[in-house]
Amino acid sequence: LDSDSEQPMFVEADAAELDEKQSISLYIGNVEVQQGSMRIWADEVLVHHQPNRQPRKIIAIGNPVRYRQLLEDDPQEVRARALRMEYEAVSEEITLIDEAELIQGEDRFRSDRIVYNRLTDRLTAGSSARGRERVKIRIEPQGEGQSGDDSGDQ
Amino acid sequence: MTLSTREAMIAVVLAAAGLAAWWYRGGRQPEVAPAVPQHGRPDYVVEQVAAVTMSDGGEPLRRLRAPQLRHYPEGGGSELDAPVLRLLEPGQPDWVVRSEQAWVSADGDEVLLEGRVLGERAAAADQPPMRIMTSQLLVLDDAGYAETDRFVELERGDDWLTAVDGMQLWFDAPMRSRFFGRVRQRLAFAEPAAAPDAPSVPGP
Repeated sequence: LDSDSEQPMFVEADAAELDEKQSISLYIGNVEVQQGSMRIWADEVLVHHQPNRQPRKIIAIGNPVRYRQLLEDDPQEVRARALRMEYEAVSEEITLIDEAELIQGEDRFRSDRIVYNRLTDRLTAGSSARGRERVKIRIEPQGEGQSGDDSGDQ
Repeated sequence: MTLSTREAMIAVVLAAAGLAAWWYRGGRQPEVAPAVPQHGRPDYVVEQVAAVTMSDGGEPLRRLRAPQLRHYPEGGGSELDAPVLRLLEPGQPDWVVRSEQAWVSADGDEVLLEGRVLGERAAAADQPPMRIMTSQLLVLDDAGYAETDRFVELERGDDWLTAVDGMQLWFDAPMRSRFFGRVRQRLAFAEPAAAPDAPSVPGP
C-alpha cells in the first residue's frame, strides 16, 4: 500500500548486530520484516541505513526469501520469492535474484532476475533486467478458468 | 550449484557487514563474569562515595557515586549500594547508569551492576536520547564495552529493541552492538524530533 513506507518497520530475528560506523544492521536467523502490509521472511537480512537511520537498502538472503505486499488498487497482493532480494527504499524498487518468481493475482513471472518497482508498478524480467535466463510468463486471460497448476506458495 | 552460490552470497553479505561467518555459527552468548564473592566481612566502609577515574592525560573518564561502599579484603573488590556510574566521552553525551547494587573489581576495571539497571544517554545534535534496561550489566569501562546475558530493552527515540538472551555493547561512538535472540525491533520512520538543548541526564 502507498502508506506502507510511512509505517514503522518491525524486525524479528535470532540475533542482530547494529553498527553505527558502517550504518548497517544485520539480522540473522528466522528473520521476519514487516512494514505496513509488506512482509519479508528470510534467513538473513542486511539493512543499510541513511544518515537519519531510516533504511536505505535492504538485502535479504534465504532459501528462499519470501515477500508479500498489498497493492493500492488491487485486492490481490503481490507475492515473490528468490534466493536473494534487494529492496531500494528510496526508489521503492525490489530486485529478485536467482530462482526469482513473482506472482500478481493470476499472473506469474519466473526468471533469474526480476526487477519490480512498487511506485510505478512496473516489472522488468530476464535479460532486460540484466538477467541471463529467459522469462517464463503465464498471464491468465481475464475472466477465464482458474489456474490449474500449483500455486507453489504459502 | 545453487547451495555454493548461496554460501558465496552469505559470505559476501557477512564480509560487507564486517562480520566473520564464525560470529553467527559460533555466536557465543556473553558470559557475565566475575563471580561476585558471597561476602566475607568488609574491612572498611566508606559513606557518600564520589570517585573519579582519570585518563592518562588527566581527563575524567568515569564518575562513580554511591551512598555506601564496602570493601572486602577477600579478593579486594568493593560493593556499592544504589550506585550512579557516569561514563564520559569527549564530544558525546554522557552515559549515566544506575542500579540497585554494584560490584567493583579490585583493579577497578570491571563494574558489575545488578538490580534494575538503567543506562541513559541524553539526545545529541544528530542522535535521539537512548535508554537501556536490564537486570544485570557488566561494564568494562577502559574497553568501552558492556555486556549482559539477561533480557535487555533498548529505546532510542521512537525506536525500540528487545533481546531475550542479552547483548554486547561497544558504547564509545560510533557504537556497535550485538543482541541475542529472540530479537525484536521497531524502527520508526518519522523524522527524529530536533534535539532540544540537550538537557544533561540528571546525575552526580
